[in-house]
Amino acid sequence: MRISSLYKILTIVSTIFIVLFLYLDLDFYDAPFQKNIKVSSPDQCMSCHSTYESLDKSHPIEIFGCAKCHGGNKFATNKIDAHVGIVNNPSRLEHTDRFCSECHSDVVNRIKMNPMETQRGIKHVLQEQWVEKSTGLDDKEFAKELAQSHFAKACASCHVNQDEDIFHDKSLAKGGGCADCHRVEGIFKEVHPKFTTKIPSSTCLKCHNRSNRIGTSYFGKFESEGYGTPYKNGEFTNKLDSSRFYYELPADVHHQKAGLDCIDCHTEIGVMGDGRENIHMEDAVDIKCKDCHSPEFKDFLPDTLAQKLLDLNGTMPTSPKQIAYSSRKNAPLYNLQKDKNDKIQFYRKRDGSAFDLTKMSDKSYHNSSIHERLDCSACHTQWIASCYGCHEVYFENGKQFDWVKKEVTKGKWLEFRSFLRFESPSLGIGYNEKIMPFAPGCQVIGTIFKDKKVEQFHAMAMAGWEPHTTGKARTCVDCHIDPASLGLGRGTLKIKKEKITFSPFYNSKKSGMEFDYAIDAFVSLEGKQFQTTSREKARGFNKEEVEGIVEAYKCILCHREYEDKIYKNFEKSKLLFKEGKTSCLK
Amino acid sequence: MKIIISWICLALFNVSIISGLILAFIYKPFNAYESVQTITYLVPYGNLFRQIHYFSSELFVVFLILHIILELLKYKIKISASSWNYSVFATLLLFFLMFTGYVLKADLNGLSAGQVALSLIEQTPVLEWFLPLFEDTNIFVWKFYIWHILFLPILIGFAIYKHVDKLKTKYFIIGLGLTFLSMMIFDMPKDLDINLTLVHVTGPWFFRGAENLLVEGISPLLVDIIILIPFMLLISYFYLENRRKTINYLLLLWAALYAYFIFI
Amino acid sequence: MKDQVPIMDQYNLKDVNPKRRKILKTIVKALPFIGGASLVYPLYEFTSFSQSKKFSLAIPLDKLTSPVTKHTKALIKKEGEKIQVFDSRCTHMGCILNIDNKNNKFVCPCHSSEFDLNGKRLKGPAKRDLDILDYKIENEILYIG
Repeated sequence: MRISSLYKILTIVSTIFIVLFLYLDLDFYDAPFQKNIKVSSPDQCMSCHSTYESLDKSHPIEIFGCAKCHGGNKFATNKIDAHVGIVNNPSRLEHTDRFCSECHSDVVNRIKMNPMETQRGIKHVLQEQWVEKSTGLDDKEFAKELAQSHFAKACASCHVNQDEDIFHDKSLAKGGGCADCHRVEGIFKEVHPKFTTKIPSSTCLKCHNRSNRIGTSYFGKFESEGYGTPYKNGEFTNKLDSSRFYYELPADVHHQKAGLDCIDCHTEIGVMGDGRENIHMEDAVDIKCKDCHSPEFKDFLPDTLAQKLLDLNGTMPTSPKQIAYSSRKNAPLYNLQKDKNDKIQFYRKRDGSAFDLTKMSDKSYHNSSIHERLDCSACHTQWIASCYGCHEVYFENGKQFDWVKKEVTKGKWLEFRSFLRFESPSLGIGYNEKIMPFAPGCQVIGTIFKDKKVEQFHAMAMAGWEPHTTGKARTCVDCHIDPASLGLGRGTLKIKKEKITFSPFYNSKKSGMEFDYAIDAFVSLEGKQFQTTSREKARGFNKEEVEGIVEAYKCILCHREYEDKIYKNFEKSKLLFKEGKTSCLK
Repeated sequence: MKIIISWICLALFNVSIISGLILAFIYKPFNAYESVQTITYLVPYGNLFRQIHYFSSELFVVFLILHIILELLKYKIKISASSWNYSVFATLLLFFLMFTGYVLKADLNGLSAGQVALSLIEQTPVLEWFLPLFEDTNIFVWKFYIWHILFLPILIGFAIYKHVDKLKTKYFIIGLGLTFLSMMIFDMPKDLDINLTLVHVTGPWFFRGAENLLVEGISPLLVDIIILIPFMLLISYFYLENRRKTINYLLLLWAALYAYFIFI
Repeated sequence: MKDQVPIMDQYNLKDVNPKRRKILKTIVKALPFIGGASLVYPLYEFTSFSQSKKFSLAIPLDKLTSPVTKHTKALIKKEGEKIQVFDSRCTHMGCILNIDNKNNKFVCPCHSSEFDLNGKRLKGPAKRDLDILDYKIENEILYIG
C-alpha cells in the first residue's frame, strides 16, 4: 500500500476516533474527563460518604476529613482508586502508630504495654500455678502445654486488640484497639462509630465479668450454680449471658447510692497504662479509697490534662478552684472538685450529677493501732465471689476454638463448678502486705483425658483483691470469731476454757479429693498454709496472727459495737484490763 | 511501511512533549504528589491529558524499539555516522527522560525510584561527582523536574533533529489517535500513597531488570555498565560492518537476559 | 503516448472527478487540524482550573488602634463604633494603596490615583470608587471575607 493512502486512512480513523472519544460519553470505558467535579473539603471522600458524622467533638470531620484516619487516596473520585490502602478500623493497635501517634503518641505507647492488652498477669499466674506449684503434673513440659492450651481456649479472647470480626454476636464483640473501650455506636459499618470518654460500665463488663467477677459483683450480681431458676413461663431467669445465671446480692454502695460507673473512680493512667509493662492488675490500677474519701487537692491549672478532660466531658463545672489528684500516680481526679467557696463536690462523669462525699471516718475505732494493717476492703466488703472446687476438664481429642490462632484446633476445655460461696469473705495478707479479702484465685482441680489415660492434677491457690462490694463495715464477731473469715474454712470453732479448736465441715478425702485439707481452708489453726498464692507477699494468717485475732473474743463477746467506749482508746483500755481495773472479769 | 513507523514514532514524541507542556501549567514540583492527584481527579480533563502524556510516552518507547529492530535487520545503513550516533544518544537520553518522568509523579513508587537513582549515582565511582545535579535536599523532585522539562527535551530534540531528515508533522494526528486507542484499551498503573506499607515497591518496567540485579546484590558500578551495554553495541553496529549479525545476536542475548531479570 | 493515462490516475480507481478529488484532498488535509481543534476546549477547561483559597482575615477589635489600618488586602476605617472595610487594591491597575494620614487620603504608589477615606475616587487614572468588603463582628473579633 502506498504511504499516502495509508497515511490518509490512518488520519481519517484517528480524527474520527479522537472526536468521538472526547465528545461522546460512551459506556464501555472510563472517560477521564471529570468535568463538574465538586471539590469537597477537606478531602474527596466526603463526595460519596457525605452522611458520615464526626467521630466525636475532638475529631470534627470538617477538619480531619476521612483519609487522615483511614488512609486511602484522599483525592480520588472513584471507589477503586479511593480505597487503595484504606484501613477499616484505624484504632486497632497495628494501625495506631501510623494514624494516631501524631497527636496521641504517648497514649498509643502506653496501651500496648497495658496488661489488658498483653495479658501478662493471666499468663504469669497460669505458669506459676499450673507448671510450678501444681500437684499431679510431673511432666513439666506437658504442664506448660496444658497451661498454654487453657490460655488460648479460655482466656485469650479478652484483650484490647482482639479481632472484633470473629464474634458472631456483635453486641458482645471484644477488641478493636482504642475502639474496644471508647466506641459507643456504629460497630460493623452501619454508621460511623462514635467515640466517647464517658465509657459506660457495660463496655467494661464485656470482659470484666469473669475471673474474680469484679464487674458483676459491683452491680450486685453473684454468678450462681447455673440452673437458671426460677423458671418463669418456662424460661430461664436471672441470665448473666447465654449460659450463666446469677443471684441478686447487695451491690456496691457506690452503685446503690450514686449509680457511679467504672470511669468515675478508675483514672486514665490507671486504665490505659502508666508506661511500664506491668504484670499484675494491682500494679496498673491507680485509684485508692483514700483518693476520694480523704482527698488531696491541688490548684486547677489551665492547659493541663485535667482541663482538656473537663472540656471534653462537658457535664460539670469546667473551671473549679482545685481538683483532687490520685496519691499513687498523680492523676487528676477532675470530677472531684473544690469550688471557689471551698465546697467539695463529686460529679458523676456520665451526666454531671453532683454528690456529697462521705469523708473518711476519723473516729477512734477507725484509726486504732490494732487495725492499722487492715485494708479498707477487709471490713467494708459485703461479700466476695468465692468459687471453691472449680473443675477443669481437658479432652485432648476434642476440638475447640483457639483464640490465639483464631481457628478451631485440637484440645477442648470444659469448666464445672461446685462449692460456690459468697458470705463471710476470708481474710489474708495481700500483695501490699495489708489484710484484705481472699477467695479462690484460682483453685483448679483438673482432669486430663489424654492418650486413653486419665490424669488428675490440682493447683490450689487463693488470691486477694478488692471485691467491689463496698458497704457498711462488718461486725467485730464476723471477722474475729468466724472461722471462714480467718481463712480456716467453714466449720465449728470452739473456744473452751481458753482453748481454741476448729473442725471443718468439708471432708476432702472422703469426697474423693487428692488433698487432705478442707476445700475452703486457706490456713490451719496452727497457721500452716494449705493453699498457695500467686503473689510473693500474699499469704494466709500465720499462727500468731490467727491466735491474736481469735483472742479478741475475750473483749468482743461483751463489747460488740464499734462505738463501745473501750475502743475509744484501746491501748488504755488494754492496760486497765491487765491491771485489773476493769469490771470485765467480775 | 517501515518508514511510517519511524514517522509515527516521532509523532508520538511530539504528542508527548505537547501534552507534557500542558501538564506543566498545573504541576507544581514543590507539592508534587498533591498536584498530580489534583490533576488526576479534580482538574477538568486533567486525567485525560495525564493519560495522553503517559500513553504517548510508552507508545513512543514501543515504536522506537520496533523502529530499531527494523533498522537493525536491514544490515544496510543509509544514514551518516553522525546521524547514527545521534540516534543512539537520543535513545539513551529517552530512557532517562522516561525515568525522570516516573519520579515526577511523586507517589511511593516514584519517590522510591528517585531515591534508588540518587543512591546509584552516589555509589558509582566517577558519577558520584555529578550527584548535586540530581539531588535537592529541600524539594526532592526539583532537579528531576528541571532535567525532565528542560535539559533532556532540549538534548533529545537536538539529537533527533540531527538524526531525522525532515519533520513530518502531519503524522501528529495519527500519534494522537494511537494514544487514544491505547487509553481505551489499557489502564494506567495506580498511584500509591506514600504512607502505604507494601512488601514490594517496583520501579518503571524498563528499570525492573536493573532493580532485580540490585536485589541480587550486584554492585552499582556493574549495574551501570550492564545498562549501558546495548547502547555501546548499537554504536559499534555502524562501524563493525562485518560483525553486524553477531552484534544483533549479542543484543538479542542481552535483551533476553534483561527480560529474564525483569520477570525473575 | 497520448493514450497513456497519467501515473497518478493509475491508482485512483474510484475517483475520476477532479473537483471531488480536490475536496477530499482538502478534507483530509484539514482533518489533523480538526483533531487538534477538538482538544482546544478540554485545554481551556484544564488551564482555567483554580484552587485558590478564599481570602479571609480575623483581627481582634482592640488591635484597631488608629482610625485607619492597612492589612495586606484590606483597609479598615474605624470611626468610634462604625467600621468600614475597603479592598486595598487600587481600581486602576490593582496596586496596594498607601494611607496618607496628613491629608486623609488613600494614595496609589503606582500611577498616583487618589481616594478619600470613604473610598470615593478623587483623582488620577482610576475611574471607579474603592470596592467595599463584607465583614462581621463576633466576640470582639472582626472577620473579613
